[in-house]
Amino acid sequence: MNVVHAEPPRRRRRQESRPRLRVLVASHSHPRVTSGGAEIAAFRLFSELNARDDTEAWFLGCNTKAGAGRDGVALTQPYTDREYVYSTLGHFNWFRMANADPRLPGEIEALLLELRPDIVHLHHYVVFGMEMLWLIKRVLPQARIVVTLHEYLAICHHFGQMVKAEHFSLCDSASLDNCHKCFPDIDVSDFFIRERYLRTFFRYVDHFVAPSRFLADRYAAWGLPGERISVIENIIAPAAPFPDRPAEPAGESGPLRLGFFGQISKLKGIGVLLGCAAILARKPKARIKFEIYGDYRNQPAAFTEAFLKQLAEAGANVAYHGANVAYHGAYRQDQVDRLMRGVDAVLVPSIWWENSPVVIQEAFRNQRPVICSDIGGMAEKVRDGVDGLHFSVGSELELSNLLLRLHDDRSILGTLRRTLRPPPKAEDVVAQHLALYAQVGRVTIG
Amino acid sequence: MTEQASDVVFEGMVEGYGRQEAAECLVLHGWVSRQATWPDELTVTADFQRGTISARAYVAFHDRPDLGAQGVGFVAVVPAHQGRLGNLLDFRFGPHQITVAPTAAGNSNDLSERSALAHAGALLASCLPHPDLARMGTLLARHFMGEGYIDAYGYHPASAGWFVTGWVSNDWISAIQDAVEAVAHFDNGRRTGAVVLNFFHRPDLAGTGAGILLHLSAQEDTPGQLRKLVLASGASAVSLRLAGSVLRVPSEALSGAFVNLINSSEPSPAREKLYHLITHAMFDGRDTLAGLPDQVLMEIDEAIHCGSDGVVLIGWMLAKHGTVEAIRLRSGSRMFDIDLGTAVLWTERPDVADTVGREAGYDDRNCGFVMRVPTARAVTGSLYLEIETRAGDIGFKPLPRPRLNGIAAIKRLLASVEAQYNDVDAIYDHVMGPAIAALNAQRLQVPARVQAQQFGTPVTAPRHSVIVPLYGRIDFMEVQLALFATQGIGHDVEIIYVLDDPPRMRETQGLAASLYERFRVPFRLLCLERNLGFAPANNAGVRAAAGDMICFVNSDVFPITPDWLDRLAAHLDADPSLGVVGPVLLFEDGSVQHQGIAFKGLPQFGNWSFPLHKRKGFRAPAEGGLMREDAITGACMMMRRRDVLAYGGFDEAFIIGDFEDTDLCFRLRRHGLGAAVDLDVSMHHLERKSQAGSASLWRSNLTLYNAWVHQRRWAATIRQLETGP
Repeated sequence: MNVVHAEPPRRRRRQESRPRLRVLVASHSHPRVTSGGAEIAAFRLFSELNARDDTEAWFLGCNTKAGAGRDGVALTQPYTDREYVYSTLGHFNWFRMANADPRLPGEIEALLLELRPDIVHLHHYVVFGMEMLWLIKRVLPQARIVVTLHEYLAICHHFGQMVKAEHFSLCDSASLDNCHKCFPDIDVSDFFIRERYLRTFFRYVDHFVAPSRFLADRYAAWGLPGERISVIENIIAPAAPFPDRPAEPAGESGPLRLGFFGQISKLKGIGVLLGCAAILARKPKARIKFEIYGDYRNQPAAFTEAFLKQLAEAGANVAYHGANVAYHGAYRQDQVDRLMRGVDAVLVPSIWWENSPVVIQEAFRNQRPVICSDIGGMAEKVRDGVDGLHFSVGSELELSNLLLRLHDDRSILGTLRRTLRPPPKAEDVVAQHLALYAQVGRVTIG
Repeated sequence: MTEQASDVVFEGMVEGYGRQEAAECLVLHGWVSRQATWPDELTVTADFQRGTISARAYVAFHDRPDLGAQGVGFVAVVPAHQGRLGNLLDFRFGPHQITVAPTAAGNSNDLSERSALAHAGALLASCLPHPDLARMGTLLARHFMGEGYIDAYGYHPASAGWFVTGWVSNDWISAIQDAVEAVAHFDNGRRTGAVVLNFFHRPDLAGTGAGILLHLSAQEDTPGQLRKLVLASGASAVSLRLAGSVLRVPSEALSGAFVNLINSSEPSPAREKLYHLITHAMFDGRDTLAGLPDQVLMEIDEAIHCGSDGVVLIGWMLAKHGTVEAIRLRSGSRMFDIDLGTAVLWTERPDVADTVGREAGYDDRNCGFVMRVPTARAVTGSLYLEIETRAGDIGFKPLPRPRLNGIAAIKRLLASVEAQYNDVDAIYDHVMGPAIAALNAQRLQVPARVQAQQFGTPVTAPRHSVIVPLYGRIDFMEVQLALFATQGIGHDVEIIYVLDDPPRMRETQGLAASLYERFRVPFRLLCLERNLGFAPANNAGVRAAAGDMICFVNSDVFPITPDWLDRLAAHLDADPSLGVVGPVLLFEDGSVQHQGIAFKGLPQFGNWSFPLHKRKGFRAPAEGGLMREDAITGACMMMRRRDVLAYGGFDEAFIIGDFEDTDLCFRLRRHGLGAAVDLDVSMHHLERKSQAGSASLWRSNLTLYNAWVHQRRWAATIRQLETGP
C-alpha cells in the first residue's frame, strides 16, 4: 500500500508541534454503495475528524456487491486518498460473524502498519468478521479499538432484531434454548459455539459505543462489560435550507398529514400503518392522510405481494375523503428534509425494538414530532408528550384513536414542535468521541 | 489367556512320541509347567528331521505326583498325515519351547513307538476330564483290520464329490460303529469330506465281504490318480487298494455307470441319498427353484465377498417348515455347505411377508436371512445356491454378482438385522461379527494415501502434538483454532488436523488457508484419500507427529483456559505409572460431559458392557486434583509419544468410532499404565443430541459391533474392575 498523502502545508506545521490523533473509522458499507444509517454515521464521523487540526482520519468501508473491487486484492481506493474499500467475495458467515476471506488479514495488516492509527473505530463487526478485532491488537498492540454497536446482531441470529422468528413477537433476551426455539434446525451446541466465538473476539474491544441506552443495556445484559459501553448518538447532518418549505406546517385547515420514511418492511410496521388507515377510512369525520416514502424492493416476495394488495385496498377506501394512503416510492437522502416538511408528523410504527432510528433525528431537525411505538430505542429517543407521542406497539386501534385526537386538536402537535429536542450538534458528538478516545487511550489531544 | 503368562518361566519335556498310522496322527506325552488356564485351542509345532508338523492338537492333562505343584502330565494327539519323519528335534507347546527327552526318540524303533502309544493310551485313563478325551481315545485305539479294493471311481461335478465303488471284507464291516470317515489318497494329496456309504451284494466274494458304493464330498482340483482309500469308523480302519483292473470313469459317464449300481444296492436312507447325488442336476445358469415339487420361494438381494471370511448372502426364503434340508453355496465345481443352525440369521421382512408371503399362504414374518459362508474364500466366477429339499430334490438359484465392499458392504450388512437382548451374542459371534471384522480388515489392508499440507512455518522439535480428526463438521476447526490462537497456544505445540472426509478436501484446504491468515498459528492438514474412521485418522496423525506428548482432541472440544496442554503433560512427566490423562469435559451449560468412564451392562444388548460417562449432566466437580480412572474418553486424551508407539494408538478394529478409547486405556493398563482425569482442567465438548429415532439402524448396529469386539476382548478385565482388586 503506497499512498502518498498530499497534505496542506498548514496542517503539516501543526503536526510538527503536536502529534495529531490518528483514527481509522471502519464501516460494514460505504455511503457511496448503500445509504443505511450506520455507514452514513460512520462516514460523517470520519469527515468531521478529518476536518479538524488535532485529528486525522481514514475511512475503511466495504462493498459487498458482486463484481466490486479488483481481481486479486481485497482493498482498493476507488474514491479518495483517505478512503479504502474492502470488496468481499462472499466469505462472511452471518451465523458466526466469521470471515474466511484469506486475502483480508494480510492486507489489513499492511494497511494498519502503514496508517498506524491510535484508534480503530469500527462501526459494526459484520462483513469484516470478528477476527479483525484480534488482528488489530496483534498488529498494533498500542492501538485502541472502539466498536459502535448497531442493532442486536451478536445477540440475535434473527437478523439481529430480537424478534421471534415464528410470529415476530418481541424477544427480551437471548439464551441457547430460546435461540434454538427460534431456529429448531440449529442445535443448541451450535448457538453455544457461536457465542463463544463472538465473545472470544469481543474481549479485544477497548470500548463500545451504543447510539441508544436501550441498545447498551441489551448488550450489557448479554454479557458485554457495561462499564465499557458509552451511549453516544450518531452524528446527524444539519437540515438543508428549503425557503419554499417553511418549518411550520400549513395550518389547521387541511387534512392531518402523517409521513412514513424509510425501508418498507414488516418489522418497520408498515402493516400497522395500513391497518390504521383502513380503520380511519371508515370514520366520516377523519381527514387524515398517510404519505409513504421508501423502498420495498429488497423485501421477500410474500411481503411485497401483501403490501401491494393492502395499498390497492387502501386506494379503494374512498368512502368519505378519497384514498387516505399515498405511496410515493423511494427517496434520496438529499430529499428527506423537503419531504418531511410536507407532513405534520412523522410516524415510526416499528414492531421491533430499533436502536436509534436516523429518521427520528431527521424529523427532529425539521421540527416534526414523531409518533412511534412505545418500545426500545424509539421510546427512548422520542419522549412521550415532549418529542412526540407513543402508542402500544402494533396496536392499529390505539394509533387510530391517537391520530383522531391529533386531528381534532391540532394544538397538540404545535406544542410538541416547540418542546421537541433538536438532534445533537455534530461538533458535540465529535467532542464526545474525542473524550472517549482520550479515555481509552489515555491520549491527550487538542 | 492369562495376562501374565509370558512372565512365568515355562518348562516341560516330551518323554515319548510315536505316529499312529491308522488314525494319521502323532501322539506325544510328557509334562509341562502348570498353568492357571489353557487356551481352548492349543497349537503345537513339532520339528522332525524330515519335516514339521504344526496343527491344533487334542491335549489332555493328568496329575504327576513326581512333579507336584510344579508340573502336569500331558498327552497330545496331533493330526499328521505325513509319515517317515525321522526323529523329533524340537517341540513347541503353544508359544513355549519344551525339551525333548533323549529317551523319547523311538520313531525308528517300532517297539518303542508302540510302547509310546500304549503308554499314552494308558495315561488317558488318568487324564482330567476334557471334552476331547473320547475322541483322543478313539484315535489312539484305531487300528487297521481286514482289506478292501477299489474297482472304479470318478469325479462328479454336479454333486461336487467323488463316487467310488469296490469291496471291503466283513471284519471291518462288522466293526462299523456309527459315522464312517474317509480319506482318499491321490498322487497330489489327500481329500477328505462328508461320506455317504452304502453296500451291495457281491456274490463273487462268497460271503467274505460286501460291495461298497460311496460318495465323498470334495473338490476335484486335479489331484491325479487315486492311490488308496482309508475308511475308518471308531477304532477300526481299513485301507482299500486299487484293483488291477481299476477304472477311472470320466465325469460325463459317471451317472450312467453308477445309477444302476445304486438302485440295486441295499435299500436304506443312504441309497436314497446316493441316488439323489448321482442324479444331481447340473446348474446351467437358470433359476430352477420354481420347478421343485415342494415349494421354496427365495430371493437373494445381496451377495457380499467378505475377504478372509468367505461370502455373506442377504435375502429371504419362504417354505414350509422342514422342507429345506440343505443349502449349499457353489462356484463352479466348488461347493460350500451352509450351516443352517448357527450361520444363518433370520430377520423380519414385513415387505416380503405382506406381499409374496401372504399371497402364497405363509404367515412367517421372519423370512429374511443373512447367511454366512465363511469357507467360501477367494471364490471367483458366478455364484449360485443349491437348495436341497427333504425329498432330495435339488433346485438352483443364481446369485447376484457381489458388488459391495468396504464401508458400503458393512452398512448393507448392518442394516439387514435388528439385534437386541440375548440375540446379540449369537448374531455377532456367528454371523455379523466375523464377517464385518473381515470386511474391515480388507478395507484397511490397502493403505490410504495421505496428502499433507503445512500452513505456516513447521514447529521444530515440538513438545506437544495435538491431533484433531475432522469429519462432517469441518467448521468446528474455525472456532477451535480461534480459541487455540487467542489463548496463546505455545510455540512448542504442533497442531495436526486430519481430514477424514475426502469429498470436502478443497473446502477444508480453503478454510485452512483462511484460518492461517486470520490466526497465524501454524498447523498441518493431512487429507486422507479415503474415509477411514476415527482410529485410522488419528493413527495417520500419529505417524506425522513429532511431539514428546501426543494429545488426541476431537474437533468439537474447545479450550477454556490457555494452560491445558502443559497441565496435562505435567502429570505424565511427574508420574511414570500414568499412561493417559484427560481433562474434565463440560457441556455448553457447564455441566459434566466427561470426568471418567465406568461400565454398565445393558440387558437389551446381551448385558455387554457399555462405557458410561460418570456424573454426566451433573454440575462440574467442586473438588480439584488428579483422579485415577479405569478409562477416559478419546475426545481429549494425552499420552507420551513413546507409549503410543510402543503399545499402539487407537485400534482400527473398531469401525468408524466407538470404544477405541476405552480399549486403548485397557491396553495401557495391561502394561501397568493407568488413566486419570485432571479435575483442574476443563474444556468444552459438544455432544449433539441425537434426535429420537434418527440414528440409522446400521449406525446403531455398528456401535453394537464395536461393543462386541470390546466385550470379547475386555469382559474379564471389566469384571475384575467391578469386583475390585
